Amino acid sequence: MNIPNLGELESAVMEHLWAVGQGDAKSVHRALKPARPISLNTIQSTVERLARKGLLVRHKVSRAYVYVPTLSREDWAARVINEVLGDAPGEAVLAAFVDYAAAIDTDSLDRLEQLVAARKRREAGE
Amino acid sequence: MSAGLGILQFTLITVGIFIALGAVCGAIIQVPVARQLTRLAPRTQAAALTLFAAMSLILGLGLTLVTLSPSFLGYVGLIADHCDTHGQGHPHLCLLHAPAAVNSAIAWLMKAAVAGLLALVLCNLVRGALQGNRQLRRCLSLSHYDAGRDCYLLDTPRPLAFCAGAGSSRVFVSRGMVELLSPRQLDALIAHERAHVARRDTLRLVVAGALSLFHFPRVRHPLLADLALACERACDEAAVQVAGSRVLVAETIIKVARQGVTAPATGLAFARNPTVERVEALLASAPVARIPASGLAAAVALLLVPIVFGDRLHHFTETLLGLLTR
Repeated sequence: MNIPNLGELESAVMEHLWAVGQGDAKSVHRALKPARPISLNTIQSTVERLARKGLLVRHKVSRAYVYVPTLSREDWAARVINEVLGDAPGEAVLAAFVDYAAAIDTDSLDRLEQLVAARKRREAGE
Repeated sequence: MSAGLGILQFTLITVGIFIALGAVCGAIIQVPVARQLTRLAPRTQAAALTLFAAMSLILGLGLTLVTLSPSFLGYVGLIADHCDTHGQGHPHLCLLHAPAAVNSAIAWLMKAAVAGLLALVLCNLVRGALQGNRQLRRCLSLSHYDAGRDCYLLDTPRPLAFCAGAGSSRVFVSRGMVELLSPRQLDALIAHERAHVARRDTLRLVVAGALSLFHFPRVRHPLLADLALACERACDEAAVQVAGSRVLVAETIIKVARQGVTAPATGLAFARNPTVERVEALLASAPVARIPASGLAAAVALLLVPIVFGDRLHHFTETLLGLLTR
């Protein structure tokens, strides 16, 4: 699945549905209305757009569509982060604390730890 | 109209010639310069390497400007028009006697090469900026602001820390990283990332990545790796200032690197690994920060040469253009 871009309102809708599990447009509207002045129509088109992007599935319960996230918030976050980290290996747009693309072996890390230990002993001895 | 096109065409070709000259100079001086730069403080080294990345373009535009300066001065009447004093065997880079456009195959080839390269660099700049901002938006949508630590917390168990965004960047730290590190180590890590933001390193790397396309690939790749390492080391030094301990910052790097071990123990140390070089640099004494006066004097002298000999450069370029586009 391609990772679609989410607008601010789309993110808010997803956050709400991740929190409550599922809901129809009316219940999403009720939940988000106190924080932002939006109409039910806007929410209806937003959940439909999210369904088209593959983030929600809908099924009919009596006369309304109920929307359910297709993947958990953790799975979504993991996918987005994987994409961001793997976006441009070698071409830096991201300044990571350690270079996730540069392989390092345990032997090198063991040697560095010995260097640190030696430095600490020297500082303690001074 | 055709005269305007003519001077534009020859200017474009002149820029191309001097960019190529810059690329050749870059290839010749890279190894000794890179070696000398490692003796400087990482902050100064990063600044010098950024300048090096842009060197071909700076030389290309700078020498073209110097070459055209007699024409500008002649046009505004500050110096006497000199075109009549020498032969007509070559095009005149002159606003008063603008050359006619040349339609030879070689002229078209050169124009296409220069225009193509300039377009490629511009595309890379725009793509890098857009990519950085898309990454920033995505990370912001997954995180919430932690006022206490002044950074954005990503809700994922993976230990991650980075700054994202090409224009205005922000610091992101994951839940996994907060759980992994001690409070002092976390402070050092956030100080490191905040230094990236203050130094605008993401933007710097996008710009250097694009402008270094004017260098040969075998110059460009080590240059960008050196620049990225110098930026990391500059931020490590900033983290030392906050943490008050070089050993603490070194330990933090090792601890985080252990989480991301992707290569099994091979018994063979990698020839160059940024993590190894950063830790070794932290365990050595604090670096010196000064550019030697002789280096500065040499740079100023090199800058003055084309300005002093601007007239000769102008005639030399005209002769060269005549030979190339005949």
